[in-house]
Amino acid sequence: MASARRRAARPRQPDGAREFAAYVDGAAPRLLRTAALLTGEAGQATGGGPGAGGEPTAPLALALLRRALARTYAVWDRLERTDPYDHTRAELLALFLRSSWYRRRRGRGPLAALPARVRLVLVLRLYEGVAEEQAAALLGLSVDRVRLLCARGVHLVLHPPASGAAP
Amino acid sequence: MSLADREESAVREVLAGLAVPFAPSGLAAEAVRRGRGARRWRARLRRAGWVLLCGAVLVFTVWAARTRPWTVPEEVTTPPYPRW
Repeated sequence: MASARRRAARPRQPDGAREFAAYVDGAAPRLLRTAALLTGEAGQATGGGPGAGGEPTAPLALALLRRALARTYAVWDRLERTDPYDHTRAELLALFLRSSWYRRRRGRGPLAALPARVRLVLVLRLYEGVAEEQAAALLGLSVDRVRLLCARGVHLVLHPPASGAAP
Repeated sequence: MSLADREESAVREVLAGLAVPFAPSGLAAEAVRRGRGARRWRARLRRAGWVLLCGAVLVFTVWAARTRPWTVPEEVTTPPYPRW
C-alpha cells in the first residue's frame, strides 16, 4: 500500500516542478534585472565600477533571486491560479528589506549611490510599473512618501551630484 | 507630455538600459531543490496540526461521554424532609 501511495504522489510533484521550471525560464531575465536594480548592481562590470569594460556581474542580485525563487517554489501549489511573477517580486522586496546583509554589501553600479529606499521606489514605480498604492503597501510607506521618494530619485538620477557632495 | 512625465520616461530608459548579466541555467532546478525541503516541512506541519485537532476532538468526546457535564449532579445529602 505504501508503494501505491508513492506512485499516486509522484505524478503531482514533477508537474509542479515542470511548470515552475517553465516559469523560471521565462521570467528569470526580468527578475534578475529587477534584483540587480534593487541591490544597485545594475550596470556594474567585473572590471570594477560602472562602464569599466568588463562583463556585467551581479552576485548579490543572483543570491537574492535564488532565495526568492526557492521561496516561490515552496508555496507553488498555493500560487497555481495567480500570477507567480508578482509573488516572486514581492519576495525579492521582502528579502531585500528584511535582511541588512544585502543592504550592507552595496553594488557598484550607477544607482548604488542612491539611498536604498529611493532606489526601491524608483525600481518599483518606474521599472516595474507598480501603482503608487501597491508600491506603498509593498514597502510599508505612505503614498505621499512614495511619491516624494520617486520624485527625489528621478532628480538624483537625472542630475547626479558631483562626487563628494551628499545626495 | 509634462516635464515630470518626460523625466520619468528618461529614468525608465536608464533603468531598462543598465547592463545585467544573463540568468544562469540551473536556477529552476536549484530553487526546486531548496524549496522542496520547505514544502515537505510545511506539509508535515499541516498534517501534525490536523492530527492534533482530531486528537483534541476525540479526547473531548470521550471526556464528555464519561462525565456528562450536561446532566444535573445527583444529590449527595438527603433532601430536606417536607414538613407535615
